Amino acid sequence: MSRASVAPFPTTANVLDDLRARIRTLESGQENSLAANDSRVHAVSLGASELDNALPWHGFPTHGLHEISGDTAATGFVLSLLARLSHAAAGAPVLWCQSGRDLYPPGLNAFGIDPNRLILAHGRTDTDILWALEEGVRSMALAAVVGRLVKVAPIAARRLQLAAEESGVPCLILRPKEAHAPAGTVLTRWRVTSVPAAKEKEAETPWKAHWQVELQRCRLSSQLAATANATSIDSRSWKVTRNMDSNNETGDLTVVAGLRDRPAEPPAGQDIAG
Amino acid sequence: MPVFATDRLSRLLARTSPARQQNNAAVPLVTVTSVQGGLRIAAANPAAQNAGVFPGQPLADARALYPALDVHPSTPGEDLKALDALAEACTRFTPWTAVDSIWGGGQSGMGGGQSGGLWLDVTGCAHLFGGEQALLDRLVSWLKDHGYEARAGLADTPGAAWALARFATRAGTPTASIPAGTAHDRLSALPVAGLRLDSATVEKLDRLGLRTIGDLISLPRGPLARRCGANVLKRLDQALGRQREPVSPRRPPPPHHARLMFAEPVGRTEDIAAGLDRLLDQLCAGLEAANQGVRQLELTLFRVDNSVERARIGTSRPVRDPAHLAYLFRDKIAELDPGFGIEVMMLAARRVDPLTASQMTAWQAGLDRQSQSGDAASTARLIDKLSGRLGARNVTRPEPVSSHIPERASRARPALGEAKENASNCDWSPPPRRPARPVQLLPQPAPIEVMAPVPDGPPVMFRWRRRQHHIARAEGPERIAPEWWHGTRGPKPQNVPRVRDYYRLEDNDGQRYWVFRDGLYRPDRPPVWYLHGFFA
Repeated sequence: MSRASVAPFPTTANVLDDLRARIRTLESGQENSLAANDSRVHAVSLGASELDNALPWHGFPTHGLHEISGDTAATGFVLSLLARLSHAAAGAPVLWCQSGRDLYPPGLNAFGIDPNRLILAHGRTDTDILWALEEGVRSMALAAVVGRLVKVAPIAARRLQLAAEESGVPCLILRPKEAHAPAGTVLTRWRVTSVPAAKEKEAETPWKAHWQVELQRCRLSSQLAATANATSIDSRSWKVTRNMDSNNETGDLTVVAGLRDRPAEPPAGQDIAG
Repeated sequence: MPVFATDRLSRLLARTSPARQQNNAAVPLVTVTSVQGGLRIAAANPAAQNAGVFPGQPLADARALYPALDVHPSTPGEDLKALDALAEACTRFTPWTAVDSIWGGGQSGMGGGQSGGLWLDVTGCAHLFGGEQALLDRLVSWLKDHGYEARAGLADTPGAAWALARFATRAGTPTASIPAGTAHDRLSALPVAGLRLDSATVEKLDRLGLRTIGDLISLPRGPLARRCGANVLKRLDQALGRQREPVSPRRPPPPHHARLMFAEPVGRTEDIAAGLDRLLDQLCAGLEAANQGVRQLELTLFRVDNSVERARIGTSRPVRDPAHLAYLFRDKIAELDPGFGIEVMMLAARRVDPLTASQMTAWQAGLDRQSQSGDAASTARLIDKLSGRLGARNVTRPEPVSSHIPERASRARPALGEAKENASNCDWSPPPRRPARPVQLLPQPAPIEVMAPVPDGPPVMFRWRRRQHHIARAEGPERIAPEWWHGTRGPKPQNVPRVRDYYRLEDNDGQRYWVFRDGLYRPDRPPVWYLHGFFA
């Protein structure tokens, strides 16, 4: 029996209790509602189970605001994500907003993106780009919205996050390497950088991209700690390769190794054997 | 407008010097032009004409008649510009306006370069003003309010209207009109100059004793054409409606338009928005009846100071949804300058396309927030909004071009326009075994300093933006030859693209670059290297 529904004359204590109860349900309910098994939240596999399992949705959520920073590797990571998001949204178009015009459509095939599905918007100012992002998120017609921005004010980020939560269109903010100040409220924050293909043979035939993917922040990760694969949440940084010459549709990422923050208990015997 | 040139000038003077405002019309004012070495009067205002000055008179004679004459140089170009602006402002009466091409040159027999004429096709517009006579009165008084003495003639044919405006009106009764079907009787009484003939022909006819149009009508046509030229007959037939006379409007009249007149001038943005809503409802009702949707829409605000403000929007597919169109206009309205107030608002659909009912339901589905994503209609609405604010050229869709030159291989097509079918018979899929392309391409290849151990081999180090990049891995070359059918057109030899050897490089930090050597290696010339793109 809920107190709110029966109390005919709400007293101060009643109201406070009621509010506390509601906050509690909201807090717990939100965690439940955004869990992977909730039908309202869709998640798209990142193509590597290690990355998927590090997220509470067991995949990349198709809503909310996400921030990816880094050099051109971050662009590549976003493009791989877009290919999967667009595929999951039955080929819905993708809006890409930035000020420059250096995105090269013929290069996107290698990521499994059909350039015909791309709408490019060029804004002169960050305000224009943020406006375009919000319009894109609210239009509900897109698979995803990407904005390349140096700076995002916390209020603007909050607006985008709310719009992206509500509409179910993920908004990805791509920030260059130089940016240090983190954006306000984001669902996930990634940092993707190029790494040299260390210790590999000089004459390696396929041209592979080597990225270091680091999940810097993820809301609701506390819920993940309660789940079974507790070991994987400690590993938040991976070295990932991607085959660039195959032109394959899905463009799978391959996790080579978790770089830092290795699991607390490594599989028995591995260190000794290695 | 019999004295347009001097009216324009005195308006200008009254604006610049307050002293002139008191007795502006009373000051004799003339413009002069230099003809055959001497200065002659080009135009004289009514006050000057009363003093005995007439166009064509030498300036010295005019000065002798009236020493205090206000003399200004004649500027036909400015006059024409002002006349054109006036034709634009007259679109408040009808969308179909034009400047009379018989302007200046002394051929009209009406004082040469001092008069100015406008065509207005008021077919179907008169009832908006309460009848044809009311429209004429309103037109003349509106022009008079703005300082232009005007005469107006209304008839079935342009030729008859021209004659009426000039020869059937007086200062007291500035308007004249012919009821349909009576052109013959009414024109007969007018002088032959009303047929838009040059002064030499008028003089010749005068010598023959043919003074009125009626005299000409009664004559046998054959001898008349032989003696006076076919032009007389042509003009006569045009005036009487026996021969069609097409006159081209300044701008083609819009297929659909709506107009709103305010009793009092308005200036607030909210009022304009409210007026726009009413206009949109009106326009969209008309479009629905015609099964059409708008692609380009233009809002025109007629300000009290006789100037015009415009705002345009475009849509990526035919629309007749007032709410969506109002949204597209929202930002534009705020930027319009209402000046001292707006008298008339006009909304004109400059371009329409068929929009059937089935497409309409798709639009309604797009309005539904619960509709599934990927809806083409919602995408179109988004593109409209984005293009409205960012500009049509800044919202693009990439388009493949069949070219091997990397910077030519794709083109940005404005998303607002429709895709040209079979414009480029190629798709995005790369040819087999072609090495990958970068994700970012510099708009201009950036020159780099390169160190290569072998002259025609890949670099081991390059310097870009004052940073050294040591190369850990290199792939290539991929040789891309210029398209020979483009290369020969360059005006200078260095503009002709040369063979490029592209290399994919990875430096010690793992960054991947796309560089090329411009031209084949030649021992006598140092190789030139460029950075062109970045791999992810």
